[in-house]
Amino acid sequence: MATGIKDKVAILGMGCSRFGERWNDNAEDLIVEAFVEAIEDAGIDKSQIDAAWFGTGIEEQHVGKSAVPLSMALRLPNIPVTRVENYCASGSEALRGAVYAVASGAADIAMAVGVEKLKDTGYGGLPQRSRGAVNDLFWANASAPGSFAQLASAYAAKHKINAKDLKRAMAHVSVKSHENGSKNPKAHLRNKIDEDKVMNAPMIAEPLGLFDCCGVSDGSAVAIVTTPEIAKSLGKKDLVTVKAMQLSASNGREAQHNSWDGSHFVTTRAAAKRAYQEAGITNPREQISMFEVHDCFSITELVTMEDLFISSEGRAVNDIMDGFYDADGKIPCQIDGGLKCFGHPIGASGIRMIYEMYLQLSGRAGERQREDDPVFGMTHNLGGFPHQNVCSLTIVGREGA
Amino acid sequence: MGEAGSAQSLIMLAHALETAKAGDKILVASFGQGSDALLFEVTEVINEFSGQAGVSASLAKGRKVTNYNRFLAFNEGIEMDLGIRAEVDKNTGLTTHYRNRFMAQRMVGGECSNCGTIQFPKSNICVNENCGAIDTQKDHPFAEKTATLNSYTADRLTFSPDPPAYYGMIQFEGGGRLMNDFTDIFPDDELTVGMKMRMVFRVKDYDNKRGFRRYFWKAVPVDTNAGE
Repeated sequence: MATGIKDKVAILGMGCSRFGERWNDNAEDLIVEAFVEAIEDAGIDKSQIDAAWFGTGIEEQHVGKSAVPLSMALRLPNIPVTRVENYCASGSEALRGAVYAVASGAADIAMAVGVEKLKDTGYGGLPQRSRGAVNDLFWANASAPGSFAQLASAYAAKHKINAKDLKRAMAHVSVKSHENGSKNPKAHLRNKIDEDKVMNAPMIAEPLGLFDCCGVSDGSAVAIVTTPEIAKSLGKKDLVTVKAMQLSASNGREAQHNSWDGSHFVTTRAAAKRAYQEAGITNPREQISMFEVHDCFSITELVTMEDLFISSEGRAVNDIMDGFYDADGKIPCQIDGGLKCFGHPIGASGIRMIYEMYLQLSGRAGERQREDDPVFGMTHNLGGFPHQNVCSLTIVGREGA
Repeated sequence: MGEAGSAQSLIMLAHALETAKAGDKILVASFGQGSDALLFEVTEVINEFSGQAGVSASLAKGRKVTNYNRFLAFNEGIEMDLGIRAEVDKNTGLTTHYRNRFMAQRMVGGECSNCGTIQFPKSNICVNENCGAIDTQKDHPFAEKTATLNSYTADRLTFSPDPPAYYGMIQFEGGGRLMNDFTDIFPDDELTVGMKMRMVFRVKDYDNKRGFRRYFWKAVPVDTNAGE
């Protein structure tokens, strides 16, 4: 295996806009909001940025194609800017480009920007769009919630779990995220809810009710990265470095080969093994301090806790109900509210997850700050459907850890 | 069952064949903008007809629609507000459709001659991770297979003219699987992981801008409850 990315790249600065229904702002306004915070945090001038990556998922609904909208919004000085898209993992893809550029030596300082501005479309959930000309001939008429909902039927059948017990654990996932989101001034949803409210909510795609689904938000997030040496030369102390970045894409096995039972993510498991190895982590349940996972739906978070090898297979329900993943539990998951409550502006979400890990590791998470000093934070950014997807995992942590 | 347009006379022929005996003569006459008359003589092969498919068997599996507004909605008798998710341009490419006609119309998939893995759709490279052979797949028909239900949902977000939209992963006997739309599911039907499904050829969607009606295969439970 390659030597990997561990400790080769440090976070120099980050920014994140307020997420939500931003009726008064264009995508460019959101980008600038996140950028100003990030560049001030980095303490550099934008002329010091050598290259940028721009992640956005459904660009036809806001900025349009290419990297030009980012370069124009920030008036970047004709540096290389690359636009990337990889379903809902587009933000992580932008960060991967920037981190790899610094690690390779091609750039001293690189920037990743993610944005999405979809509330104007009028859709509840993601916009309806073509899946590709040939796929449209035979793919099911599937929505995101309908695709992810099927994890629940397959998981309950495999582990012989009563559907109501599973639904109760899913409800706890959402209740916990609302609790956490209530403490986050940038979060889209800041109301607290209880399990009964989740259980009795209108059905979206069985068994996912309204509160089992994250919404879609407007928002942007920015990361500026450099080498640990340059970060120190710029006066940065207590660095947060990148420990691992792994990506795994489905190859058709889940969708077309009968070796997948529909209850878990093949890609997440493959990427997790590589990420822990790259970061030198041997016992993630003991070593990872906190997670931000792709909780697009409550059931996704539930099965992901097993796919990341934190809960053993079939035991996520117990860990969730025991409060293991609550903000004051052993390993908090979605301590910022997650996609569920911080919000889900598609192209920004992967970078938003890193933003919370960075704040927590720097002791700057305000009311949400973990009391024990976090060492490793892990993010899980998924794009697509359970049966065909991309899974992007990132581990960040204290330098030297 | 409604009026089938230009297919009506052939449906009547199929219906007549269910009770026909060798030696019977059947006249099929259709009339529209022009007229056809076809005269058939039934042969001994009719004795091999099982009666499992056909008009009577289909009617026996039918459901009654007792809600008149529902009937009007399905037959364009009233103008429906279908919502924003029904507004997407289908951009029908006839050359795309023609090139993929065996996959989309006959439901032909592939069987790898190297490892034997059966898969849908047929592809250049075998989906079996332990094989991965290139250009080894022979045509393999799926339309008449029985499948097992692996996972399912009832979706109220996605557009369906008859919500909720039922769909899920079905796994075919002998190999192959598909995330597939279901049809003919009624509120009193219970879907369970492991139940048996079969395939029916149905309208998938309409490209109203270009006047194109797209068909594909949908899954229905093998055992359905009778009546609504």
